[in-house]
Amino acid sequence: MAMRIVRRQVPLVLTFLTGMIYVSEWFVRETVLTDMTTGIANFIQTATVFVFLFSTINLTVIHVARIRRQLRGPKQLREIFLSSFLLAMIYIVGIVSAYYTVVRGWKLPSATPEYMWWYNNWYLSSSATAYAGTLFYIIAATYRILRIRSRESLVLIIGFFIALLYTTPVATSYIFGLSSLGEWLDRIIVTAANRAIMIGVGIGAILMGIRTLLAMETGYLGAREE
Amino acid sequence: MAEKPELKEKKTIWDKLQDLPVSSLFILVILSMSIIYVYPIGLPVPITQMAKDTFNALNTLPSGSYIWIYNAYATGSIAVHEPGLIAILRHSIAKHFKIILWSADTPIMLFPRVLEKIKPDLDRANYVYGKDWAYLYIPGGEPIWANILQDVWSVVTVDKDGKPFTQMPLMVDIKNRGPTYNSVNIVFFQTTGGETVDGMVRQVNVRYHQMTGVRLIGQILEIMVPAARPYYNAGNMDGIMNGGVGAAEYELLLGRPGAALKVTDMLSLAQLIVLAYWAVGNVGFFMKRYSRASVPKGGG
Repeated sequence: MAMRIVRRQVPLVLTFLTGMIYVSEWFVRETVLTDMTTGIANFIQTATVFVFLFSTINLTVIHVARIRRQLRGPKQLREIFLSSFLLAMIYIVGIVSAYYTVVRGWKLPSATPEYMWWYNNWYLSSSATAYAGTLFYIIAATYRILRIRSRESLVLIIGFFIALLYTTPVATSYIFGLSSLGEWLDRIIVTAANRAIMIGVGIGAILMGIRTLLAMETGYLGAREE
Repeated sequence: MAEKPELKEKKTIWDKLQDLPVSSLFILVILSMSIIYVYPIGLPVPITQMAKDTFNALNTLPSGSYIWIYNAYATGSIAVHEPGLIAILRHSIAKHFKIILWSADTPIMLFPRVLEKIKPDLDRANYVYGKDWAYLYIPGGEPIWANILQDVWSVVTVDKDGKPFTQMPLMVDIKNRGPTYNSVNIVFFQTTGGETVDGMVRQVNVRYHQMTGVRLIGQILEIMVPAARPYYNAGNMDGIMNGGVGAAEYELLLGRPGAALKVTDMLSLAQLIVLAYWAVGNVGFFMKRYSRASVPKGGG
């Protein structure tokens, strides 16, 4: 019973109080309330740092267990083992470089050349390559899928055609009226559609917020114990 | 029993047009982008009203104003966001603004690249770190932005390298001016995600625009601009830098052509190639359907 109160009731009360402080602070500019929201924000900042720590430990536990299983028990897929092994190696490099960072006087990793070398030569290039790789999927899809198969798809494709041309700077420079047409579409049609979506989402968020404050929405607490 | 040979329909020109090898499209796009990267051809870039508004939001502020720059881009969008940041920084330095940059994660690692490119501007304008500009590391999202604008000293007291604010005249001056929003004339943010736009509008524009006249501009990926457009149309944002194209427009308005113009050249040509392939594919598809429909049906 006591555990149930700790697990269910306490978080609900905390959510209500925190939510009410933020809502009140928005409307009532009182120093006490502002100080309280500052305190909560500082706590969020600290919690964010702990999330990094928690996720690092969590990932390490999962992948070290996977490597140990591979070494002792039945063989798994080679690719899975290799990716776990690689991840563990990168962790070790990261931890070692962070250790040197700390030894050098508690500076952030961005200040050390070792970390920056690793970041620029490994992470930056591989991350940018992965992102750039999506280009091929997009252009292949544009060529293969966007076909005029029906009247409805014709409307979609006319929109696509104008949008693509309008976002091509050289096309807007040379095709008369394209700029005005694109601007009109953006300013009237796109804005109207987006406003409808935003207002809908906004109303939904308000309702969800009220439900959460009143403990009618408890999904964020995880699965309910019966 | 011998298998019947499969009857293969002969491929017409329309079949071929709608089944052009995608690898040829890839090769053409890669080739065109590579050539333009080495030899930029300077294709025209028209200046949109949105770009002019973004530029004027900064340009019409008096010298000595405070610009707060929030970097939230990652390595994937570096080709778009880095030139945008460089253009804004160059403009801010030319206008002798006080510059405060802050970010939550990745851009701190990417900033040395930017610093290398703006160093001549900083030196020319005699900018001193800690006195005229600062870079802060502040993890956290919207609740943190709200507190930064209230009182940045209550959120952090050191810069990204651990230097205390007490040793930075810029930050001491901000504290002496009262609540931090008194020292915020314009906020420029860079993001790849939509939630940053919503949060910035709520915390900067909605909260302080009427009180202090703070301006809000942002560089958003092209794909996210339609979602942010209602804020710009309603006046919640003073300008939007439309991804890489917006950065190129800004470079032109500033009179300092840079990497964004080169990227825009590449974008222009690649998009035209994709458009040509798409048109050819659709002509093939349409003609094939048309020729099928016009063939008389056999009977007997």
